Amino acid sequence: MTDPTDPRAREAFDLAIARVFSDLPDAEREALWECWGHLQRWAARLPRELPFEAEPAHIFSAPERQA
Amino acid sequence: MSAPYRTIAEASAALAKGQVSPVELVDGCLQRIEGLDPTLHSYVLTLPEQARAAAKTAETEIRAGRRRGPLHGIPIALKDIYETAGIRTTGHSRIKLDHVPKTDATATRKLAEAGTILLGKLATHEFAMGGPSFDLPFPPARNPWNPKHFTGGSSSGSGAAVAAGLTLGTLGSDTGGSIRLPASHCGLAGLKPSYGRVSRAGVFPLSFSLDNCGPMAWTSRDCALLLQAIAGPDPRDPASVRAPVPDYAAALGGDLKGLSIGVVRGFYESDPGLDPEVGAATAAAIRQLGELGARIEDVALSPADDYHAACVVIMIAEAFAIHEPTIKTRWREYGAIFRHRLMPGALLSGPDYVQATRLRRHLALEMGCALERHTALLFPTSIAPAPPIEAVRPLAFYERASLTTPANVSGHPALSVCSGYTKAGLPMGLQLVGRRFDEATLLKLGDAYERATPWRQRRPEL
Repeated sequence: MTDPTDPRAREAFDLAIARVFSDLPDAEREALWECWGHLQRWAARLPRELPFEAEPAHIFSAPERQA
Repeated sequence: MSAPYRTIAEASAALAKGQVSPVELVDGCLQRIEGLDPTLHSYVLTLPEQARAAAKTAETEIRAGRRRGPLHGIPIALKDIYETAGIRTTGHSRIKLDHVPKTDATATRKLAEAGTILLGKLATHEFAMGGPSFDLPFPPARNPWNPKHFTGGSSSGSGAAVAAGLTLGTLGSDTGGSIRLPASHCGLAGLKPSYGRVSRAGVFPLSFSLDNCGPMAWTSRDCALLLQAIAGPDPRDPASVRAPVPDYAAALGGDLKGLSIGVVRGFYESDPGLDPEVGAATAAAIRQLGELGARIEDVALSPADDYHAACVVIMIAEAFAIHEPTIKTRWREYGAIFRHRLMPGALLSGPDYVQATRLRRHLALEMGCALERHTALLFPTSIAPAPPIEAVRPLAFYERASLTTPANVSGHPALSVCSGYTKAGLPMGLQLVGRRFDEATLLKLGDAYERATPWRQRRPEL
């Protein structure tokens, strides 16, 4: 999870977001940094050590689609 | 300003008996829109001439004995993400401000074939995510119970318009609660059907694997009538399922004996943000459902935060994929709330998305197991009534888990019904989650509860 006070994390974010959006003003980048902190908090909650066989949910694998 | 008919069912019965005409119903709604919507902002487009012409046609057909069914001659409106042939469909966004579709969404077409009359297009949060926003081409909708308060979203105009009697029914969309939350905050019934039950073809997508189309109306019975018209498979929607479509209205009535409700107290009772009035209303509703014959037991599920984590990551990853070509070059044209939520989605990784879908499978199985033991699960739709619109935090969806996301993650149907009013006069909502493709039982539970309580007799004073 991103530590909002970690300057290296902020620097990495600025570089990464600039690769996608090259023309962002500072205020816009600041707003996105705040949102990214929230999004990372939720992503950090996802399990990372599931067994190999734990497959994803898939819209075509629901039981009612098996017939 | 009084509304002559509160519900679709009442108006439909009056139409069948010739006590009212479609023209009178449409004129009544249009007059209320003219008088009230300058304050409520629930419509982004009204179609008075088209609606009056369609009402005259419906009147002629009904008088000639060619009544198509219970929705023939009923005025409705659509969230402005449903495509309407020849009628501007904006998603409440500058990006689609001049978009005039060539064809109808499947749900638009099915409602028209059932004989409904389209009054206009309704406000939404931009592309069904992020609001209320004050930097879009149209103002945000206001809550008819108190226009200083939030409607909930994203089907904001749908909630406001039904509560204010500016239409008798609407279709909303629900990716993380966008039907149920405005239904709760505006005091309506709102149904998120099972994933795959209603076609989403021709409806602006937000998140392919979480999006659902569904009805919002004053009562569960009205939702049953609307669902009947729009449910069923559609080759245009790859998620659409060939499950049998029962007669929803026929399933209503009777007592609740033999039904079992699992209360998911862990989702809300220990939440410090739980409004005491919502807690008391939920407890009273549980007692009421028990008195109606349902067996009540407690159920434990994973924390709501787990469901929310899966929902947020999947939603933002899929939404970013949809908007990527546009937002990379035209981000300034989106509203601040939408773009600030969406743009960081560029930095989510492939493994983030896959892990979210793996967690999703676990959570869907867990909820499915609970629903093998119980007919429905119960918890509040929202832990608090509608806040003042100025107090809504732009990142609220990111800041804490919502109680509406679990049913999007699992794909089960979920119904919100009004569970009473706060001392300040704001509605509260009760949520029931049902078995896959068993919307009929959810609607039966909602209808029984509504008939046993006085909440459907009260309307906003406007």
